[in-house]
Amino acid sequence: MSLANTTQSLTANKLTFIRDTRLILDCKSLTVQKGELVLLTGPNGSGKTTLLKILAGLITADTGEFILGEKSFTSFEAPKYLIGTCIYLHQTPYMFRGTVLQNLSYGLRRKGLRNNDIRSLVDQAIRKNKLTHLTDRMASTLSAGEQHQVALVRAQILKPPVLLLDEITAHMDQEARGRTFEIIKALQEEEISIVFATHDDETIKTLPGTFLHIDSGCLAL
Amino acid sequence: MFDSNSALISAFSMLLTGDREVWSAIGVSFSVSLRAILIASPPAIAMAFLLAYKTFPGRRLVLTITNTLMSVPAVVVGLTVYLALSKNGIAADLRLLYTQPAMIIGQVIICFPLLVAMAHATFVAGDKLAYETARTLGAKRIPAMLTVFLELRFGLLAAVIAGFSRIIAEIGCSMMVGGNILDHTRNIPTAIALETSKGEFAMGVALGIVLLSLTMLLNVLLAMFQGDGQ
Repeated sequence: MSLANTTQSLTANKLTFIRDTRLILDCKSLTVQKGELVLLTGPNGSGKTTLLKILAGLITADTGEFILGEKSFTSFEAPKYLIGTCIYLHQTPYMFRGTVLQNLSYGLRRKGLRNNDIRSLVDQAIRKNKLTHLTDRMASTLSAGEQHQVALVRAQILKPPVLLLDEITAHMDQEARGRTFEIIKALQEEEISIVFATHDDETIKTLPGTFLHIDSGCLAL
Repeated sequence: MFDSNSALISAFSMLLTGDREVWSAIGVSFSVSLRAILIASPPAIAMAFLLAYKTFPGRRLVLTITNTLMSVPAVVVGLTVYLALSKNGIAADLRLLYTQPAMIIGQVIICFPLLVAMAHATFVAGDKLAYETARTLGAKRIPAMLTVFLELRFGLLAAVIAGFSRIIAEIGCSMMVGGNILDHTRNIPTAIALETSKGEFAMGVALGIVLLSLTMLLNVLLAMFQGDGQ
């Protein structure tokens, strides 16, 4: 059992987001090619999280157009197409109550897969990402680095076309960071497009990707 | 003169020998209050979720009204329901006055604001990332909301138990809209009031013991359910 590989590019044009009369985001154009890693840099409060959440469909932009693969849609239709397709990972991941296994199964259950198929996909992902020792641990007892790894695998297992990572290496130690980079490289090999918001010098030096800078809500290449 | 020892002994005897009047009042209390809490909880929790997770005009006003309604005495709710259901009331045609459904309506109104306020506090204190994480992993709105309910189940259960405790012990509304009719609308609090006013302390004490035991049992169950939940 495997989920269909649905890798595709994502383009967002003329995105604006205004809150309380303040322009938070004004993005002329952003394209993430299939399998591309975009490193999104910018100071605190520059609009990185807002942009990622808009690309994930968690926030609705006031204006904008999207093209995902061959499908184009407006910002108001975006949640319908982007939620569950472009997966967003928080800076501090949220672990559902229960074991790591239950957390990894969450998205697959929402897709309505059968228990046997879910178990088989989760087992594959656990072996591939060397998480066997964590499987039966309660997710809330994991270290911050382990939680990030589990969150990354929980998203990877769904084979999303686009992954949106919000400073996930910010509070990791060297070892956890290394393991996270390995997972990200594996994701690239699967041609999953990634937008990675980061401040971290090591991340920027280690991961080969396209740079995109955002300042005061405006993107610059 | 009131002899507390003999009243206590008679009370236990009534409970253990299955005194019909005592157990009838207990049955009415449970039947009415359980139905009321089951009716009130789902919409109250859903409303609390919307108040905590969505922004819409009038949100603060709804919260203020909810908090205000929490402190309305049960007897005032009883009076309002009584006026609505009585001969010239707006719902007179339903012919519900002095029935269990009338008591259920009153108890739903009493516990609803408390449920909303406590569930809202639970949602506000909970981690909002749960909903976003569920959504981004592909859950639709309702399943994502149910995921949040499951994540915060200890707090929500505490809210439901607090609501149940409030209505099982209220007397003003039950007396006014139920009429304290034996085997029909006489519940534990109205029976205690009636029997003690007649000087029948044993039955009052017996029913008081049931109410106290119930409160303790609910709290023990809550503690067991919570386990080491933090």
